[in-house]
Amino acid sequence: MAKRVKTDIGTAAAVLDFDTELMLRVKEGDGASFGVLLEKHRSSLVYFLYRMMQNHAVAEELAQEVFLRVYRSRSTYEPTAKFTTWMFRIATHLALNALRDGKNERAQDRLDDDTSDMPVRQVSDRRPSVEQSMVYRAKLDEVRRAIAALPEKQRVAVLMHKYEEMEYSQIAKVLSCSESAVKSLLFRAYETLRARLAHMA
Amino acid sequence: MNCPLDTRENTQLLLDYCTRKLEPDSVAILERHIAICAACRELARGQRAVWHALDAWEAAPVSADFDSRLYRRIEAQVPWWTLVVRPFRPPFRTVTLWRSLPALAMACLLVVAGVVLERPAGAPAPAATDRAQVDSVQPEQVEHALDAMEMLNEFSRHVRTDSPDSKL
Amino acid sequence: MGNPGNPVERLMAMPPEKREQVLEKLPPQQQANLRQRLERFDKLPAAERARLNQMWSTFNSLPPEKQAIVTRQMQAFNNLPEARREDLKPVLQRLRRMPEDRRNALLNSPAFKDRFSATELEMLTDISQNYPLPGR
Ligand SMILES: [Zn+2]
Repeated sequence: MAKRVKTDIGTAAAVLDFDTELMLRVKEGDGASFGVLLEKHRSSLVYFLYRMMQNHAVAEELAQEVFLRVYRSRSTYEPTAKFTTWMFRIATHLALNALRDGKNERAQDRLDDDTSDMPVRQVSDRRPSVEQSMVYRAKLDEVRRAIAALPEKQRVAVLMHKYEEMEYSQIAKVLSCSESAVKSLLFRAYETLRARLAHMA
Repeated sequence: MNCPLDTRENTQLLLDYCTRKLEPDSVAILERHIAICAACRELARGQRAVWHALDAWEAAPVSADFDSRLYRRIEAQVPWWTLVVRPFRPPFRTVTLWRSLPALAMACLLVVAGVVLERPAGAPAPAATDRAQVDSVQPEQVEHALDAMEMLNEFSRHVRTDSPDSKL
Repeated sequence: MGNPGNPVERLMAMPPEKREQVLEKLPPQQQANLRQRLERFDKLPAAERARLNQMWSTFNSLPPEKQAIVTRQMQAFNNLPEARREDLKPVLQRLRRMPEDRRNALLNSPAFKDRFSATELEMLTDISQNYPLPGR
């Protein structure tokens, strides 16, 4: 009985979420809807995992695994949560496991090289001087090191809060903790980041 | 107001303020406090600086073959025909799906179904299916729609750089 | 995921003889050209076709004047040199995801004015305002 009530509430809430509708279509065998979900969430998922793992190849590998799991669970899918909450929960779980397995251990050593993947910002008619782009890279490097130094859960919370623009309630659901626990994680994380990055203003 | 820094729970107000998530009336109250409290002012300044620093960190684009790699992995696990779909979903399928949901849910779905993923916020929902329209399509409309899809497709490939080349 | 509003899908959904009637309204050369384009469209994988339909619906839901702005700026963006497009791309995508007030603040910031030419700023503004990505 209790389970039934929970499902109804979940369904009513999730109905407002178009992703959930798409996922229900995937469940019904509609592959095109999976394509739409992939299209819609591919970038944000890869970016989130990239900022978690700080390694592009590892991030893409994990993102593939997330989508694969989403696809594989289609037949048992029940809309008890927002689709993105579910997706980020899978992603976070995989990322934390991968960090513990040391999958990205080379990434830490490669922090310096990896910035070379990034496009150097330039204005078509005014290229930045070598000095400017060195300053930019140094700043970027500082940001990445500061994020990498955060404890895992704080890092997840900050990335979802800052780059995914998630509400506290959704972050709480992804991390399976209370909203006040999320606020506390964010409070400590930003305190650390202020100490390390506030001078960059 | 009391200084939000006195309790951790209230410090969240300052974070929300810096990320512009705070309600306008709370903003006004907080700003009056910040004007007289050096500690809060300093925290707000630091938090904004962090926010800007984090803004600078853009992720590299997703690889061009991401989807094809994923579909290869999916196909290795499931028969290919489960991925093939009818471009036209027969109306009864849609009806069956909707009927299985509670009435309220269905009402919401009817709204949601008209909303398209990339539809800009605030734009009016596209007109519902109008069977009468089907018989009145003009060849110029078809050309125009193809032009638009080609342009949008090229744009989406450029902003993604991660889609397989479309054959359109 | 067929789109009943899309004239292309509406044409493809017609019985062959009715489709012919529509196509035959065009002069022969134009007709042949359109047939080729339709054939290419029809051969697309279902997911790709659904994606195109979706983008079209979004675009089509805009009022005509906004459609014109988006068309002009998207064509300009598509025609940028590749290196420049790569630079603008992450910025444009971020702007398209942002709430309006944040987007405007960023677009009007001195940092942005410094980084992009006036034409580019206009392109970023027009596309992100009229063709934003949906909120999560
Ligand atoms: Zn204070």
